[in-house]
Amino acid sequence: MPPGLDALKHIVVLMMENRSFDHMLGSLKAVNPQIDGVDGTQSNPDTQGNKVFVQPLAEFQSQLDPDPDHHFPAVDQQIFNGDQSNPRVANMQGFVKSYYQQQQDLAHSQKIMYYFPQDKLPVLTSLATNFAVFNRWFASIPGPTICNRAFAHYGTSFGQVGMNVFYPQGKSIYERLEDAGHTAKLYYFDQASSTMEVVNLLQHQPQLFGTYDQFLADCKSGKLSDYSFIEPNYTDHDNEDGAQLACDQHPDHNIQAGEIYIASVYNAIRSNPVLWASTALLVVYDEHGGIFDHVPPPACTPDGHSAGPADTGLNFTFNFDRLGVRVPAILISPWVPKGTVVGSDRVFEHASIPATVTKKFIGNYTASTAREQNAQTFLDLLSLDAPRTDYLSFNL
Amino acid sequence: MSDDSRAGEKTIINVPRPPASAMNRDRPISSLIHAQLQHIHHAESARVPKHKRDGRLPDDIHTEAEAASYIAAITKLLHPQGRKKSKRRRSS
Repeated sequence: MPPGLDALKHIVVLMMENRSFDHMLGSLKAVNPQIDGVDGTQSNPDTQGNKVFVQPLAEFQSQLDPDPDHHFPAVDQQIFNGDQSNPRVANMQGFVKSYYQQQQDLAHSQKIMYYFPQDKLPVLTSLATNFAVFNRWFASIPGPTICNRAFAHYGTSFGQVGMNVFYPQGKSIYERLEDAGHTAKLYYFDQASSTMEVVNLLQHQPQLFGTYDQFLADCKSGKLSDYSFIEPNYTDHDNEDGAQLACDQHPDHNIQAGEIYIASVYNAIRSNPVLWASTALLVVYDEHGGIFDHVPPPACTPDGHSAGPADTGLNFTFNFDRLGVRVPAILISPWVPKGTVVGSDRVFEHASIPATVTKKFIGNYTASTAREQNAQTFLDLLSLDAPRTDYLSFNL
Repeated sequence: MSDDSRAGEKTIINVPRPPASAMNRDRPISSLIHAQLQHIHHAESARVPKHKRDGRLPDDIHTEAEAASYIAAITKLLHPQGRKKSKRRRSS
């Protein structure tokens, strides 16, 4: 076993909200051409047929308001540019037209093509260039948050393509770990933000949950579970500590607040040397939020479910045989070679999370979906013979 | 072990803070928060005795602060362990 994998005792996943790869990390193509970002030539037609090119003009807030549509029909338009024939080709040419439908404002619709210059996102871009950035990590479904997050917890959404309440017919990664004698925890930000896993996990298994304050304390005391899943703050609100700014980066929440949150998670792990040497942190986004990305989502192993027209909002059945739009994903560990770019020949999605955690802590587990069993795992990226001694320190 | 005692190159990155104007408690809720409210309400109906229920309905909630207030009320019932620990006062 590689020494980094042998040393690994903890896997931590921080899942942010609703930003595409090109929007957040596309600028890094200029730093490293191996990173499959943008170079200014990528474009979409607007509703008048004019080409709208990507530009490094993304702002921290107040630009993507209203929230770009990212429900199933809108994402289908974004990927296929409105073509519903069969067969059809994913061309990523429908983002501007999709956003135009929300306000019928031509100039505003073009902002869906904006991306952040590297220096505006010092946390995310420095983590990406110092550790491992994935060229091909996709949302699991071309749809919104709840069904995509389900893939991170269960390796499937049990046929859901939307935001409805659902009950699982299989075990979450947390239950699997507990059954196998391991420990797992979901940390939500605070009680006013809570979790997106209310119906299935919070109401039935509250012992699985902790708060972000507890995560910080667990990192400090070295009592972190084998597997941890962290949720951001989803709303602007007040709690006992005062005003709390949403840090999920969901439009139209402030991007810098999310940068601070990502940095604070990293700092909490790195500040404990024993924990740092034995932990892999994955920072990943649940879905693209309706924002442009230039890489067509590939076909994938179906997960045994289908969603009919009443669920998809379109005139066809979706067989969970194509992934959603590409999202940012970064694997952080001192055992990862600096500047790793995970190539385009390896396709990851959120089912890769329970697949990886299961492989590491449980081993053979036959009850997972075909989708999860075929998902790429990522711990081979901890490939160094000795942990790195260089490190980033975020000054918050 | 303190940070300073570790060998290796340390790169310090300053992280800018958002302006105070970023905060907007009255921001209309997104479709995500509306869905979360429905899930919370579903759990409230299933798990909370009628006499302890909050009484608010998801469709009556319009701003993020209103949503946070309702979500906090129900989460406290579902997961009382998540209550913030009060900060100890230093004895004089």
